[in-house]
Amino acid sequence: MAELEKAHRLAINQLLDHAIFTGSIDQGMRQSERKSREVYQSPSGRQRIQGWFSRLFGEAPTGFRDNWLWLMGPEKLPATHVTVLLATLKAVINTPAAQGIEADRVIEARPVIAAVHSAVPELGERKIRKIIDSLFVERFKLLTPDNPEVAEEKNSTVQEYWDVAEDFVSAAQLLVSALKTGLKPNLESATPLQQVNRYLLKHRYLDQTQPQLWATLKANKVAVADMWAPLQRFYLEVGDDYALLLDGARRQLQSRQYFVALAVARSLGAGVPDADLGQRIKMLSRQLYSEAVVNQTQVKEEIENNSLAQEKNGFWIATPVAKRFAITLGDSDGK
Amino acid sequence: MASQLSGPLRSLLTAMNLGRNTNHPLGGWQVLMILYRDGSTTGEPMTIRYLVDHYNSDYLEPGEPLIDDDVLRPIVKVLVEQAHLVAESTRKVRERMNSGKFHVIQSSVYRINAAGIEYLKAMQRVIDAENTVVASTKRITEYCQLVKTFQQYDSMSTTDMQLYEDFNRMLSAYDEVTQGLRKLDVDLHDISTDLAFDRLGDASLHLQTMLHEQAIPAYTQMIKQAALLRWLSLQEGFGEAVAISRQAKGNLDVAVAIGDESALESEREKTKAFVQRRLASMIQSFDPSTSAIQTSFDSIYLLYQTLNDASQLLAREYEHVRRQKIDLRALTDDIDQLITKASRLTVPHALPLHLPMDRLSRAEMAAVESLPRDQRADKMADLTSSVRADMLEAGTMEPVTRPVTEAVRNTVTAADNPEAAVDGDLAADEQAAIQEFAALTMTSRRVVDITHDLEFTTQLARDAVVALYPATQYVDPAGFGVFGRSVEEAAVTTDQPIQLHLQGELFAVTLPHGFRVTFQKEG
Repeated sequence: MAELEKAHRLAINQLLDHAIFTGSIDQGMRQSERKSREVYQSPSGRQRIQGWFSRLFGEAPTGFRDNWLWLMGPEKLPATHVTVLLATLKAVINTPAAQGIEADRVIEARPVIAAVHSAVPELGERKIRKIIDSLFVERFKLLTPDNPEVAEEKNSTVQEYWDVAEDFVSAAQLLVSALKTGLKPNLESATPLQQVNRYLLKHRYLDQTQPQLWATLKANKVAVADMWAPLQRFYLEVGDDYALLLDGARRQLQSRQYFVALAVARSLGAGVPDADLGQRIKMLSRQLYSEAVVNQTQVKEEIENNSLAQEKNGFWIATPVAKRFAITLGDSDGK
Repeated sequence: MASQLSGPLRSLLTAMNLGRNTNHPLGGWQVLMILYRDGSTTGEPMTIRYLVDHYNSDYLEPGEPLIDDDVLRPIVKVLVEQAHLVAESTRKVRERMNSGKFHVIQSSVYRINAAGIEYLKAMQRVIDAENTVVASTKRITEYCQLVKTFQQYDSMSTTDMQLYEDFNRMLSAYDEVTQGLRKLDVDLHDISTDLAFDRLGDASLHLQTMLHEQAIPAYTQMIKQAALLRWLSLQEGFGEAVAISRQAKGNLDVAVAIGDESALESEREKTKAFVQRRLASMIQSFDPSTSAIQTSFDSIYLLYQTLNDASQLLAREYEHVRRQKIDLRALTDDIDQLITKASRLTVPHALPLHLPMDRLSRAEMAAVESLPRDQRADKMADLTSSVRADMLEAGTMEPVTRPVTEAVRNTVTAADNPEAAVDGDLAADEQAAIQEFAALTMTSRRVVDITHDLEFTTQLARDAVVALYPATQYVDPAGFGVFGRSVEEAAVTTDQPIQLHLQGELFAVTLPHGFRVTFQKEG
């Protein structure tokens, strides 16, 4: 398996986390980021990175002028979100200030949101703003919120702006081309191993509810683990009835809600009706933390975010992942 | 015949104010003009009187007050002593009286010298600089040629003025070339600024041509000659040769004609020094060290910076043009079309957050966290190499244990308050202290006598005794006092140390002597 160097890994992680890898070098970039851009532009580096993606998933990133896009994930966005995405692209590329000719690329948020609202009238402006933030600010990192410097602490209206990334137009071109090719019914089939990898990446765990994938994985455990090894980020763990990728970039959660969620999940047994879940949470949180207050909705959130339990037909059942954990009542430095 | 000064020349001269006279800003200049114009032709000696007369008759500006001796004298003094543009000598001058008789007086006579003439010409050139300074680097070839021929200067003949004239030609070629490069520098800078602001299409083309066809070739040629020039400046004989050549056949100087050896000798020395000086300053402009670049008048490396900036600007411009090739119109149309088909488009959600890697022990995780961010992945990969095989059979591994720590809420009660110190009650204590003090130490209403060790019960009394002791060391003890009574007299009495102990304390105060203190009379 070909070794991946730090610059390659940085580019791959950027594509996995943010879907878009921009090509131009900014003043504020760290040395490692600059290096990874240079490497991606060189033919050998590009081959290495594209090769890794094709080998693992059967789908390589698409590029346009040193910018790269790789879209993969569970389920698809609803149509309204897609419309917001497209309308925002249109609004931003047609804002003259985004061209960066006279000044730096800073645009006002309000006109863009208004333009998007006219394309998607059924959503409120606040909701539109949230969607744009989740897509462009957090996911693609093409916009950064900014505010003008205020000298005095007067009660002035907060004006919101966005810094537009230098490669916004190229990224927009990439997204549009990718969406257009997505329309065409030309699906290359992926090999079984590639399907396994895709599933492992798109979901938190793989269990016997996917019998074919499960069988393939069981038969090729070592091969799959070796495919992921060069990235030095995801480590394959295969248990008796589950398999998952552990993310080396994340650290263990420490919050009270998480611990309560773990306890709840492990106590679910044959299944708990939906209406009783709240009771169960309250009971266990009192057991674990007699003094502190634990928020129920947050606990539910933790259960969902960590795939500890699932709701099926009105009953909550623990997933195989929950069995991975054990809770001990220890002191703070229990080794 | 007043000189007609053109507008630009007038403003330049007014700004320079040669002669330093606020009422007559053009005074110095006019004096120079008079000396230049009339100096050689007229038979009259150019005394102050002459200058004043001519100035008032021909050279006054409209609105300028009449000038007289006292005003002109300091102007001329500046020209002579500070500017060195006018030479002064005393001559015997014959003045004509009304009666027709002549009277000889000794007065200063002024003559413009070579520097003055050059100054007049130079000011004129300054005004015309826009037209004469051309960014032409054509004289470069001539300059390079001459530098090359001078490499064999010892074989050149010094019997005629050829060598000297060639040297001067080289100097003037060099001056023109550096002027040309300077102008090029300014022009490049202007075009670059235009480009940075306006992005004109033609400007970048012009810039590129200027760079490639003129500036860079001229620059490289000049740099190449630097080594030859340096060699030349180290040759002792070259200055000599030029000096001799200057005085060779064909020189119209009067000193050569009459064979005045001493004048010739001094002129030769001056020429040698001149050659050395000029060569040294030329060399300095090719010196690449930072101190030389900053101090040199005309460093060629200053141009380098502009050339560098211009090429970078062109590179950025190219990038920008390349980027602008995306047709925004077409892209917008595409987006519009896609919006109509939004329900059929698949945009996947972002990848979910996977579970964190928790199969390493606490110590191993600490080792990973202690490294800087970009080295952590490597370290973790290292540490997991042993565990990875086990992870593929995770059913046999122990579950990940998470210890739950109870959150203890700290409630603070009044018992947690720190101990407050107890204040002493001073007012009540003072009465008791005075009584004790009086009982233990005072022998009469005014006298305090300490002769033996004392044991106190009140702190104030003990402090009072200690406070009185220093009074014995001063000639005038009036500044000391206790309990409101100041000291009149204080003297040391016994020789043995006195111990003062306060009940309840572990330590005692030891005074070196016993003493007696007399208070001032009350009232």
